Amino acid sequence: MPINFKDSDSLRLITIDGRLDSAGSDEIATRFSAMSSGAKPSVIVDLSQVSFLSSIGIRLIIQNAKSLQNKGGKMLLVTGDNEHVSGTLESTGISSLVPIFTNIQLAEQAIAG
Amino acid sequence: MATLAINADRSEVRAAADWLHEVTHQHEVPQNKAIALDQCLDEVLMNIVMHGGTSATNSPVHLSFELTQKEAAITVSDSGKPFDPVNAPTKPRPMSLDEAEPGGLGLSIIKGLSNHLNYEFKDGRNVLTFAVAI
Repeated sequence: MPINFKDSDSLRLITIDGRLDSAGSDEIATRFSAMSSGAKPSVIVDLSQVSFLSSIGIRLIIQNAKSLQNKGGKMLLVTGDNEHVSGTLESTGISSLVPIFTNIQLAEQAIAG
Repeated sequence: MATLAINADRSEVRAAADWLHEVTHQHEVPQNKAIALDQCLDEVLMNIVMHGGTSATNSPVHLSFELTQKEAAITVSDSGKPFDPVNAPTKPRPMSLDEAEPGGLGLSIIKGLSNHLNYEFKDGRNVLTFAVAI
């Protein structure tokens, strides 16, 4: 399952693509936590190409967001127009813990503050 | 009615999803409803795999799909520890990332996405039906 990152200044953009069910989450877990372990203080995770998000996938996001926060960093999520992903994040209350934006530009603006 | 039997093993959960894709496509279940069923099924099966205990692997997990005029329903029967998700309390929503404990989200997803949820313990098996209105 594809997971990639791109750095610019103090920001890292991680893009996840595919089915974030139990199997997909297992597949990217190690790479995801390595990528979001604080190399850059601000991490935007683009979930707009995620076709399926399960509670295991949400757990993975929460774990990494927490560990980044404990290192003084911050994680932001981007869902694009992916209603399935935004609806799931909404229904589990995660949207109130990790800021969610509809596009990368808005997330970058929020970081720039 | 379409049926499938799988082992209560993490590696077989994807096979159940593939089966569901096939039957929802065959029965022309609307895409957003099929995704809701897919998501509930993943959560239900992972609950069995992770919390069903050793008795869950004693016999296969049976899945059946049924379509009526009003809803698309899946029934999952397993031999794991008795667990009634209908009456199980959902976890309160964490107020901060520090408070957020991984886990307990699956039940919120199942209850949030299904329009109808029914549980009984019958002949030593958990029998759970979840359905979405179509």
